[in-house]
Amino acid sequence: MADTTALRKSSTHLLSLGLSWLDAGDSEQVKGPAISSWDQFLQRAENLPSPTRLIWARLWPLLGAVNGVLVLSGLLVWPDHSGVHLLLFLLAFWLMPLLLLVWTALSGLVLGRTPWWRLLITPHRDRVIALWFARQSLLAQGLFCLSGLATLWLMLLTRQVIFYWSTSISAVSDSVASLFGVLSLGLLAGPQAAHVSAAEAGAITGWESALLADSWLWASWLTQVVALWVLLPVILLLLVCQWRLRRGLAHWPQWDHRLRLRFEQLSEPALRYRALQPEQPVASTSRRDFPLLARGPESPGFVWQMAPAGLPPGSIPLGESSYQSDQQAIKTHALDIRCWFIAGLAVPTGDLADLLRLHLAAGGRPQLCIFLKGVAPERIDGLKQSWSAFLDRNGLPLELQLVRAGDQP
Amino acid sequence: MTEAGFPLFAVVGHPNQGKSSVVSTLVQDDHIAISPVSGTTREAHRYHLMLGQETLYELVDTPGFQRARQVLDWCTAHSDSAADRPRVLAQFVEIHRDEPGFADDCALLAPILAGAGIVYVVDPDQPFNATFEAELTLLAWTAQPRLALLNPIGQGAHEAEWRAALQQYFSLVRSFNPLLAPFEQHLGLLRGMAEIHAPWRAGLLRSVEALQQQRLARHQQAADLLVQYLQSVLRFHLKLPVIGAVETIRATGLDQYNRELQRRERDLQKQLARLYGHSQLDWHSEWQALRTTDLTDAHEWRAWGLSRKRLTSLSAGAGVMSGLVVDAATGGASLLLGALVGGALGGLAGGFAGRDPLTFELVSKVPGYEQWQLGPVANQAFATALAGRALRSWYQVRLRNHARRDSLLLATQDLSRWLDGLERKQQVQLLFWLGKLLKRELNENEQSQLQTLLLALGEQMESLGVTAT
Repeated sequence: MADTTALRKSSTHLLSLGLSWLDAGDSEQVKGPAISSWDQFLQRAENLPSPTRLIWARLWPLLGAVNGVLVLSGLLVWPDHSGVHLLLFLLAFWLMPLLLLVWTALSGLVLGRTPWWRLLITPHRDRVIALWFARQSLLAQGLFCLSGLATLWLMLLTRQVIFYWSTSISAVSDSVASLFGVLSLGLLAGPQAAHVSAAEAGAITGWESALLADSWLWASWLTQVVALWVLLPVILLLLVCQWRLRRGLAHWPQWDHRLRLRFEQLSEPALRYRALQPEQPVASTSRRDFPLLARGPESPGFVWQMAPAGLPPGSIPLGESSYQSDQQAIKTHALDIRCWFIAGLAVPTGDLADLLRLHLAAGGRPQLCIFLKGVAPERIDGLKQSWSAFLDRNGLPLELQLVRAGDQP
Repeated sequence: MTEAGFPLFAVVGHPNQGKSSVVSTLVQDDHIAISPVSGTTREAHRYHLMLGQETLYELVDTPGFQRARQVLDWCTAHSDSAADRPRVLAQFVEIHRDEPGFADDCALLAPILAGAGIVYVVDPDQPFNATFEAELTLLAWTAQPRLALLNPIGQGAHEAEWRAALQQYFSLVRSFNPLLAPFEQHLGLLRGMAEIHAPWRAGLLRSVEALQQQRLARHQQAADLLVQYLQSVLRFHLKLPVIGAVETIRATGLDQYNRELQRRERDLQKQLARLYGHSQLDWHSEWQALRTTDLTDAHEWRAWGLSRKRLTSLSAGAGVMSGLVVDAATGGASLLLGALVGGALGGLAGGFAGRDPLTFELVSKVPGYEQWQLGPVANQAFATALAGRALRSWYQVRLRNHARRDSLLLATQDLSRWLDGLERKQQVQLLFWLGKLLKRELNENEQSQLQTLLLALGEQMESLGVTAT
């Protein structure tokens, strides 16, 4: 498998290639030559149909950005058109994103689960896909807050915006002040108690002009709170997520059974055989239909190698001693012996062909009798082909008979 | 060691003794031409077993001896002493290599004279005679390390006679049937080859290790393949538009469903075969035992699953397993009620399995867009039968040797209810996972667990000792 450096394309592109393989039909698996690396495997997916719905998932962060603008605009007109309610702002741009952030980190990065909207994009799920969806979710959450803050500052620059908060429960006032202090985490300059109470007093009395003086202060403080609690963690989580995603993409088959299967099916096996010569096709040999006799001839003959029992008296064994003695026997009996008794299990060789030629040259008319005793029925076809090939290859125009009985010619 | 630096063996012998079969088995691939017709191999063919870019060993598939006695006569006439014999043989090859009559013998001897070890293959159905003796003498004259394989193609009637003869010429004589020998024997043969020449030992033992790893990787991939297959067939469903009467829709749908199931099963068989290096199968006859016209017909698929009684008992076991998960989740507060209820429900599900194999329901009632859905599989017995058939296909491919060119037929009695022969614990686990698959797709972790179970089942299948013919 390739290391991460070999995969230089964007994570989304790599994910798209992997999804193409997961979506591909079974027939796609075996097309083309074997691959030697994961990188090559992914590259081959360039020719496959790409997952069309992935584009919507790519736009998901933009949707987050649009939502940020909409939510901030909503806060400007709700609940009473008089400005931004500080607690609602914190609810929308601090508490909710923070909870979502924790949830995304837990489900996507730790548990390997995907968000609900994964089903809109792809039916496949695994740890790598979960990481990519977690990344998109984090991007969407970050852009939501960023676009909300950008809208806030745009509003401040172009019109008058006041910040206020209100409650009908007096005991809550102190809690809000301390909440503001907690949100600063001691890292930011927290709003002074006077500003906090002024924001509440302004809301109660409707004395807006007094609050306008604090608008820039509140905007800066809220921006810092969102940056500290949401944007900074989002950036850190995005870095972790991206790092794990790249690692995951480089070793994706480890996390997805189906992808691993496809990758392995296309991969060149580590252990393989290589033929140094082109494959030799099985030569097509003609198969003659030799006559099949119930009994063999009753006159003596030459017996090649394996003598069937009960041969006619006077038969001469060949192939049992030296080649010269076989030659001598044939020269001596070429005219008075015609039959060659051969067991079906014997394999025709060049030696036999040479001796048959000698028989012909000495004026004989050799005739082959192949005894089928001991030959399995399923091997008879092969036997006929072997003898046909033998006669053709050696140019021997001889009669050949198959004898069903093995013991008694 | 040869000049090339890796072990080199020439597989030699009389024609039609199964030399190419031995080569095909040793390289674990069925691309090598094998024919029942004698003299099919007319030239020496060299094959490298490669691990990555490294050659582990080379096998040379040679033509058979054609005129061994004549070669020996020539060499005897030209040899002055025993020390002279390898040189005389080389001289013979040099002089006669272009003569058509001696082409096969020269092609056989050349790699040995170039340093190859000898694997002599013989079918002990034939009696030992002068021609074979000439072959053995010639091989002894080469002075190369050598072993002999008795390949009993038939009954091996003359095995004892052959063994006695071969032991005079070879330091190692083994019986090895390349068509039927199980994988462990293939490795045993390689280990034997490692013993006949010390410098080749390390290389050949590495080959054994590589082949073992390849076998394991093949099993793992096959188990992965089966997991994906089971997910795909057990979750498969068809959407059917409302055209005509319900019974007509159902009948049309079942026909379509059946065809799709069979297509997926054929794909599985092809992929399994390819995975194990079997690309030359006769597809028609190889899977004859599994052929069926209608997979969704209960009469046809029941033979591949488990008996009703067994299924009931095992389903109860699987139900208990599921219930225990619930009990564990409650920290024991459920007082094992989950296991109890799970067992009862599982038993009932198994006992009543045998109704319709597939769900069939109206999924959209919107006027103008009415749709029926056929599937997914709803019946545990049918799911077990599909799994049984898939496992059986795997088993058949595992059992098949690469030298075989005919269809593999398993003994008839093993075909029916062979799942019953597996261990009860594993059957329960299989039913547990099939039950899960009937409800939903498995996540990656669950797929890994099912894959592990299938691997164990595969091992157990081999230990059942079903015989191939």
